[in-house]
Amino acid sequence: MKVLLWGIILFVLAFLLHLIIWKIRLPKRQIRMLLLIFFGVLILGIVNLWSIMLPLTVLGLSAPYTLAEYIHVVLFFTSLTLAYIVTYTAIEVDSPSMVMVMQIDNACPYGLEKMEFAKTLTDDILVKPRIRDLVTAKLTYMDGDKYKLTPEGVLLASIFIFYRKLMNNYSKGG
Amino acid sequence: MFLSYFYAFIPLLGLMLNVFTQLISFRYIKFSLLKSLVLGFIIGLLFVSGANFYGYFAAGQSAGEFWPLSIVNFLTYSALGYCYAHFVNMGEGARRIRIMRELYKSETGLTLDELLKIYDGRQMIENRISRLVSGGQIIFKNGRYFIGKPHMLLISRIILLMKLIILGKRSEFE
Repeated sequence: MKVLLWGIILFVLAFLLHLIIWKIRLPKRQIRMLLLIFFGVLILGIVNLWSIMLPLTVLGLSAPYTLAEYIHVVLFFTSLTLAYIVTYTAIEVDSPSMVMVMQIDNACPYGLEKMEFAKTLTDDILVKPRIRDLVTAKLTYMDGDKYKLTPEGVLLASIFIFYRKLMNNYSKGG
Repeated sequence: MFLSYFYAFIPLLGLMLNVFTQLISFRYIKFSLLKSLVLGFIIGLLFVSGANFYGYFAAGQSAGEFWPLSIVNFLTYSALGYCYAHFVNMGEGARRIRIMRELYKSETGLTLDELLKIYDGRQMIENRISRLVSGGQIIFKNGRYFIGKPHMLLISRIILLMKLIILGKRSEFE
């Protein structure tokens, strides 16, 4: 019960801190900031629980006691955090598929013509903002009029390329 | 003692089994991406459930410990499985990853016009429409698109709600 309780308490604390910071000012590099907030709270929380140990009780439950319990809390918290951060990528930017589905829903019950998508979903909406995101995230940079990958970008791209090769997936995607 | 550590790592072992099953079923059995992800998740989930019950029945764990730890392991495994599915989907459909893959292939970098030629919005709409139609999320009838299975619409509405709560707006372009 301790693992469940403390894992949830730390996650909720990190989430609330994230909400407060977002309401004050939206960070430029949002994912990086989310990682800082969530793992910052985890580290501070674990260090505090470890140093306080038994005296602290919530709902009649003391802080985790054994190393195995701490590892369990860390794994639980980390998995929830990663799941939230991957979901956040869909919150941060508009997903074209979701926009299309919402457009079709808004056109109910008459349905939507294909041409309507092309009117609203242009390169200015779909592609150019994502290229700018990559520059902001320092995954690409401008060299004259050309976009190039930074070392961080090369690493990230090669992870996905390697995995697609491992899956034997040669579809274009996108 | 051993059981505590074993319990903590059950979700990670489940994830490894999930990834292995997904890779084999996609690469060698030629399942579709979605089917292979679902199969991998189910196999991992069966392992996680079985390993949790092992602790209860074979290692004499108390019911008071069993249920909370099972919930933690179920949530941890589900979150990790969700992250893995998202990682695979990002390699397939995410615009930023696709742009980075194109830049990786090009040794001298690409201009904005070159990027737009390779990865134009119109083609992206076509790809996404065909994925949504083949998945049954939208239906094409009498030259118009309609909502099919409601899952994608439900997810889109949840994401929209999260956008409103966290960012205070419906779209990144507001």
